[in-house]
Amino acid sequence: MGAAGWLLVAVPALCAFLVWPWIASSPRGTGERLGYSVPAGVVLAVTAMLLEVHLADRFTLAGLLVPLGVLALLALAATRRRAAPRLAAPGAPPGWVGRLALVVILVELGLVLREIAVNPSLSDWDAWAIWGVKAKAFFVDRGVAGYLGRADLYEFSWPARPCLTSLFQAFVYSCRGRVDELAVRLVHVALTCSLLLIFHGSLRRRFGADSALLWTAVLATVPNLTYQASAGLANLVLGLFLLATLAALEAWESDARLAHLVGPALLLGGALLARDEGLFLGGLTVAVFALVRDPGRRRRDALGPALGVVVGAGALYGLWYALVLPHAIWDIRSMWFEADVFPRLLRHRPEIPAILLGVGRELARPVEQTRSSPLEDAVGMSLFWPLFALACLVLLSRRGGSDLLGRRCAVVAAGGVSIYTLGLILFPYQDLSDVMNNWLYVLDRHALALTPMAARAAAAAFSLDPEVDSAPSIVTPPEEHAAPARS
Amino acid sequence: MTALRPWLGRVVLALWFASALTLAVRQWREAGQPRPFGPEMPEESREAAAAVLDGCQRRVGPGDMLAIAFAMSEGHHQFLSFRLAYTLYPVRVINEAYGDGDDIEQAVAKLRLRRPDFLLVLGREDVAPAEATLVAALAPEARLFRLTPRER
Repeated sequence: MGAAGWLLVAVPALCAFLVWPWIASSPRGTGERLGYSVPAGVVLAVTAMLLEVHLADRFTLAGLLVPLGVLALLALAATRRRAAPRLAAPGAPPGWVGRLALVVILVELGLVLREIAVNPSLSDWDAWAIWGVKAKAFFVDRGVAGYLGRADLYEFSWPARPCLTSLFQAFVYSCRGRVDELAVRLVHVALTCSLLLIFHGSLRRRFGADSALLWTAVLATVPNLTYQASAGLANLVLGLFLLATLAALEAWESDARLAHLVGPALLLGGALLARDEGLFLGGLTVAVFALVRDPGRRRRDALGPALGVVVGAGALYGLWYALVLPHAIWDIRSMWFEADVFPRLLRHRPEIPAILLGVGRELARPVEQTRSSPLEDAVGMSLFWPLFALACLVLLSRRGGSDLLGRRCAVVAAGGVSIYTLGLILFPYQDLSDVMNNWLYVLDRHALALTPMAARAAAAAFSLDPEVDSAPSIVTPPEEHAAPARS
Repeated sequence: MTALRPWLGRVVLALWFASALTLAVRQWREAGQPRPFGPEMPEESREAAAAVLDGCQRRVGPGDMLAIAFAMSEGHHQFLSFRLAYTLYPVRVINEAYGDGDDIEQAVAKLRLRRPDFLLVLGREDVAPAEATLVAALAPEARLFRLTPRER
């Protein structure tokens, strides 16, 4: 399967592109809609795979593509009957600053693609040993039972861990007809592009074109992100789903249709299925949506929708968990829910300030693993997280501002770092130096899941442009532009 | 803080793009270097690792079980052991680390309890497990043995 295989890989995103206006508040432009389509397509494909595994013990390419095709046709038919509402078009085009930022983004993506051209295989240890081995097993077995049934042989790959990316990798391999690591790396680049498009779209709702592009360029050049953009890891994917969920929920507030909660639920489901900590970070994201509100809006108005989104996402997560449960596989989360967690927390309470200090020091330190820039290496400091800390101070000093998404992102990113810190404390360890040595060195890699939110908060704090007034308004296309309804 | 915000923003962005520029230059320089195994595999061991992966792929069948005994002190042995499990799937791969001295005999004995078809010994050339036939010396410190059904 040559070109046809590549086309099949794109089917879920195409399906999501057509369906998106019916299940979520419409994005401003085609670029942002495309941005949502890739992650939503991944979740649609994985949901179809999990359902098929539940029904028939194995998945087939036809079994995945047929329902997605039917869904796409239904969306097309619905669009013919009634044009989907869309939000107001963006304003002025970017100036030279914005164009320069766009060049920076394109150069960075070009460098990522050049690296893939030279090294087409998955070379990051976790990428093949955790996510890759599952993907290969799912592809070879055309199901999950073979791998989960022999979980003891693959303990190094954390068998119980939710594995959205692995399942989608198996889908990619099925489309390509072989284990194609190059294709997987390109899919991760597509997901990174989606992140940039969603990030840019969220900024464009509030700021001018130059500011939006400048801060998107900042996100695109976070050193750790440039590495993970194609490495085949799930941290960045989790970050994408978290930001997309919050942005889609915020867009929902502008039209508040019940059907438009399906999209955010899909995205939150993606976050839960991306990594273990997606459960906590996803929960935090929805809680922040419900609790951090503009002064004129009541919190209880958001509780119902938030609950609905959580239930929908939980159902998707349940599809994976129901497959793992019968195999009685040791799960990292069982550690967190052990009976002695609270005694352990109390025991280590005096060490919490030192641990928090260690976390802060770790996040501000340039290290080889996070691929800091040479300038950061030279000054002996990583720029990103200190920048976020400064952004939080600025946001606090401004006491609000109209960029609600920026403030929400700041709370989720800060809360997320706290959750990761709590995770460190909950693991059994001998002493403080033990936890520092064993867990802190991976913190920056994991914290990449919060980087998009932190960057969005920084944009809200430091953006130089005057903010674009008000929330986006709904624009219903005039009747003459809509296709005539079928009789 | 509010009055300083525009200036702070400019300083932050200028600093950031200076950093991004240095990053892009390094990425450009590094992108031309093939890195099939990642940084965990030492440069001098890469050729041997490729030979082990290739040798096992050609000799071990999908229905077989491969047992690997590797030196605990060698990080890249563990890497290779996991990499074999990935590369050879659906071959069942089990492994056991050994320390110094006679630990390797214990590791092999423990592995044999799972009734493997092949045994790969990493890190030792002087080991000749009983009731095993040498299939190939895949690399200087990697020997693949066949454990026949009767001998298992």
